[in-house]
Amino acid sequence: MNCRTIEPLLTAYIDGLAGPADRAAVELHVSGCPACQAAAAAQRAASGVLRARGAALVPAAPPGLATRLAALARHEAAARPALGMWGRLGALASAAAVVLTLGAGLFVATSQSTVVLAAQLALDHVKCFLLDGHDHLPTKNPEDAEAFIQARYGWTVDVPPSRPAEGFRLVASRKCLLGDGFAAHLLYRADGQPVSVFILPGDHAAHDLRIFGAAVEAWSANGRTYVVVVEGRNGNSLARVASYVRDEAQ
Amino acid sequence: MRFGRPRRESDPADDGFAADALEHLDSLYGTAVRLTRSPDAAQDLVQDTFLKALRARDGFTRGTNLKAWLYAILHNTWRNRRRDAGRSRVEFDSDTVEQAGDGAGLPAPISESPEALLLRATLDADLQAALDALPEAFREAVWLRDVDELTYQEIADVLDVPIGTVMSRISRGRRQLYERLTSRGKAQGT
Repeated sequence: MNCRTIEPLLTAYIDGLAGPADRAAVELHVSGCPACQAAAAAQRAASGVLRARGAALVPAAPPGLATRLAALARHEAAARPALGMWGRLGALASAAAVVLTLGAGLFVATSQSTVVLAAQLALDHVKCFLLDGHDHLPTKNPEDAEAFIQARYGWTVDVPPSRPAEGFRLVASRKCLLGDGFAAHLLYRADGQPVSVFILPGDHAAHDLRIFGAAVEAWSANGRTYVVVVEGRNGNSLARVASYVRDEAQ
Repeated sequence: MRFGRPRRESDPADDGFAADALEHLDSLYGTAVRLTRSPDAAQDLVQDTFLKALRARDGFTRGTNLKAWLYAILHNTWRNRRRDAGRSRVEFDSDTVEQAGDGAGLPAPISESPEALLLRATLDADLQAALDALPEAFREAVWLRDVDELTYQEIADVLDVPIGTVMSRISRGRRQLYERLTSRGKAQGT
């Protein structure tokens, strides 16, 4: 045994996890090798410091974060049985595979994939309704949202107004952080349920699908792509909202 | 125009998983702060992690280490983000980093006891600074072992590297940490 072969064994030796043979080999070598003796002592000292002091360095999570996560958990718990009715496993597996392994940035590289787009936006829809309220610009008037989009993106769009009598309300607008904020995000509520309308530059293939516990409908018009995301599996609700948005946004 | 009925507000599928996961919130947030070095980005990373954990919960085996499982999601999310952002932290997986501990040579023979070193590092700021100066690959391996007390296999799963690499990173990380703590103490004349 020389220093090279001993080195990989030192960590487990210091941690008291080396087997009897490794332990004997390390002790035999270290007893005659000042350099490895020093290396072992350094490891032991650093480990001791961290074990004693490391936990004190962990910052407490901001209280608001715990509150938002708890709200998210309640939302997810309520959504699970509904998902089960149309094949939770399949939907979760496909959506999770798309979103978890690709990540937001890859979407930009494969922007032709509306499925990836829809999965990302469905995730963002859930996140920003439940989690990221701090960047919302509360918006009641469509004119305010139109001015926001004009100022932020230079786009002239018609923002569908609220229809209070039908339980459809414009709630907020924000810059969607997905893909470096290239999408405008309008937040509505329809009969209390969250509805997202995303507006993106460029044409993407029209699509509608259910993914990540949300129903998504996407279409292109006037060089922009509109994506409507509705919670749950209510396709009827989605069709009505999408139809309304399509008419208003022309 | 009607949009369907409001959703029920009951909590039918609460099996305690979320509450169990929230027990580890400080640890997750602390890890996220170390990785992102930004409180805002750290919150966002933890939110993504938590959402993914809730949706992948069926993949968690009861009785195994939930914290390690959550860490694996957090680190995976972080790796994806960093890769997607195009910021190539080449040092993370390169041979350069794995060999980084070698060039500096072995530490000089110990001239002070571990207890003395511990006293030196009693100032949290000093220990924090020494940790911050470590390459991320080393720092995370050491932290997961010495503070979070994960097994080598759990660390290998979290960091997505072979177990031999974990042992090597812990070894080099601890030694570099020691060198930084001792040199810092000497530089300050304390």
